[in-house]
Amino acid sequence: MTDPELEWLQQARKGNDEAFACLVEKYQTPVYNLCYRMLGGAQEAEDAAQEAFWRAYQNLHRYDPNRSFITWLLSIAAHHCIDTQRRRRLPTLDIDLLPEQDVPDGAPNPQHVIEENQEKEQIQALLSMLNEQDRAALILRYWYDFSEEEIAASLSLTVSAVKSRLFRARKTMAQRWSDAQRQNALHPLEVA
Amino acid sequence: MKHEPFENWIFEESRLPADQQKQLKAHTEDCAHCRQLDDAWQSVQREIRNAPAAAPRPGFGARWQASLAQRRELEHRRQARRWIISLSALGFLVFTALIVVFLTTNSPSRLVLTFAQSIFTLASGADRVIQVLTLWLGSISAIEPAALTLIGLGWAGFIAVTFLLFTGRRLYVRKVEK
Repeated sequence: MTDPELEWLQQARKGNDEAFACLVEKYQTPVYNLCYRMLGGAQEAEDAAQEAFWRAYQNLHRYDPNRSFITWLLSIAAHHCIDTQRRRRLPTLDIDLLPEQDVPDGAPNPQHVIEENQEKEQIQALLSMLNEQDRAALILRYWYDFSEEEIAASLSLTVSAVKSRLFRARKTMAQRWSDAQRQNALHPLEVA
Repeated sequence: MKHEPFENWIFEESRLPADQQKQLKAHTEDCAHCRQLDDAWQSVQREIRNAPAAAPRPGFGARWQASLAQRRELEHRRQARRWIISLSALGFLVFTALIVVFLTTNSPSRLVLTFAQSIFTLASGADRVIQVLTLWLGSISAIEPAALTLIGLGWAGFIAVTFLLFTGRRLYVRKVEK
């Protein structure tokens, strides 16, 4: 954490709203990205990210300064998203309806933009097939480079539980991907 | 074909020892299932790496600040509601406890008797009030004309004096202004 961030944090803990607003500005993207990957919708992610910051604001006195602030913040966001998911199950996308994967040529043309969007949907579709905690573990591992110990601390799980959840998540995603590719190979016209 | 332990090795994050890598490679060359799984996991990893970090719409911080006052107000209301509910629950518990203590320390026949006595006392009290009112109204009606004349004269005098005072003051103010 840089010096201004430490200062903001100290000021925010003393009740300075402006300082906390600076922290919101600083960490909005990682928190929003986690919520988006967990929930799959822009508006839901916005609401969840705002709620995560509100919970952090309310519980700032409980924050341990020896711990990384972003880890603590992401942990709050992850728990909130898991709760939200449990309350209102995300409608799962059918992997069979996913478009065929093409080799991206990197050209910035409309077709490429469409392909990028399709890929984005593919990764979201794969994520939506995992249960909430497996998804949270996988997102923290691959988008935020959290160690298994950090994931365990963030999600209130044991390290062995995190390992087995990550293994299950990887296998599920690979199997679903493989199934989708096979389906696309069998029925390319239907998918197109 | 037996896929264990190769499936586990495919999803193992830490780098496999050289001999296990060789075994896995040999197996995936022969086993279509494990080869597909390995390829799929590589593709998924590539997808994850290429997936950009989703960013919120511009103005997220401003929206946060705008919602802060609203959230605080809502929280205060929630806390007030919690206090009211807690106090009501406490009051209810105390009331219930008192009733239970009262019922367990008094016999039912005594309670019925006390209730009947209270009703009787109230009824006789009301009867006395009615008697006093009747007596008072009777005495008023006897002196009614004289009382009304006195009250009317008093009011008329008060209005006349007030009128004269106001008019006099206004005339005096006009004279001073001129």
